[in-house]
Amino acid sequence: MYAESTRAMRENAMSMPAEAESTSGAAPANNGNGAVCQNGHGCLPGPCANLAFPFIAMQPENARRYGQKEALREGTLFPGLNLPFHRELTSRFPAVNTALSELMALDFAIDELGLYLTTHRDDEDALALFRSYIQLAREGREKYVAAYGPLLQTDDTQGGFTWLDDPWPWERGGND
Amino acid sequence: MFVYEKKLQYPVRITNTNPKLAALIISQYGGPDGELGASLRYLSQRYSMPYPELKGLLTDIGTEELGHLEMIGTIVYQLTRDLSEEDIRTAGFDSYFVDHTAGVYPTAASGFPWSAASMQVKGDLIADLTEDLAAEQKARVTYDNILRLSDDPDVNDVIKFLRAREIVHFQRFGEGLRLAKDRMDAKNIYYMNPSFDR
Repeated sequence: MYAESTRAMRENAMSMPAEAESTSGAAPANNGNGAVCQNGHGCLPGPCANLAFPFIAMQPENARRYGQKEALREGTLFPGLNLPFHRELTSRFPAVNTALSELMALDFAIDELGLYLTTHRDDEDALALFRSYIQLAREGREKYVAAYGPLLQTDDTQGGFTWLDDPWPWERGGND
Repeated sequence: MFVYEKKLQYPVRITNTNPKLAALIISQYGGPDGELGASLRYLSQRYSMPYPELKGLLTDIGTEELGHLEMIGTIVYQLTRDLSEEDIRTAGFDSYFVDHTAGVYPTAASGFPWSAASMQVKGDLIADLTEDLAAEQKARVTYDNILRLSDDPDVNDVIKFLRAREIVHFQRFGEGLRLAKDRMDAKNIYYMNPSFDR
């Protein structure tokens, strides 16, 4: 189906050990053409590629990942895609370590993995991680809702129609 | 359909009132490369996408951009809380205030209201995804420029998160284009438009 890109990714993945939740130990990957790809790099489909067509390298499977809190702080789950601007200040999140920020971090990892899987649907390790994050977030969500109120209008909470209670997310205290 | 979740994607906690900065940041709410245009561009382009990965990408990213729209609205709202008489006369904010008070309105920093003319739906996957790649870069540059103009660490903390998302989205759109190419005519990818020609 999408043979070229998938084959290139698989060749790359074979020589790149999985290092989930870790940022250390970059392993070079052979792209199948004799070239070596470092972390943050990928491979083109082969020595020949179409003219008049833009190419972004496919992110290899088993790319290194941050843990979920670091991922939310950096704005990506993948160190290879973390390309900051020189004027950025060091982020202070999550200086306040709250139940909400923990849930945000889990939900962000889920979003980021879901988006990755959209272009890497055959990456079974990523799919397994995606499912395990969903399970963790489900548990975290139940605890959060019980303690602080509904996240969805349909969340079951005690004490009346608490969906309407302040603060809303944009208000003071809405992100604590 | 869409279901609202009563939380932001990333926390926004702005301490200091700063109407002048709000009048700049509003551009990512309703400006030419802002989050409203991004979400409508992707959520509209998806109907004519021929392959499941592309439908998925535009749905996922278009939805995330709606969350970013909410974050930018939150920054503007929090920067314009508790305005004093002096604050509303701030050069650069006074011309916004006269029309919108402290409401959040989709406009560019220049005062030009949000316009669908800043986006396109071409009904051709190569044209649309190439526009999307450019759109992510233009939004990234706007965030770079906000980081150049702002010295508020509470604001910049959020802006750097949003900027990082543009780069990830750029990567995913590029991968989507690659996956689509593998299904198109190998010798001449412009032979037909798989969204339209049968």
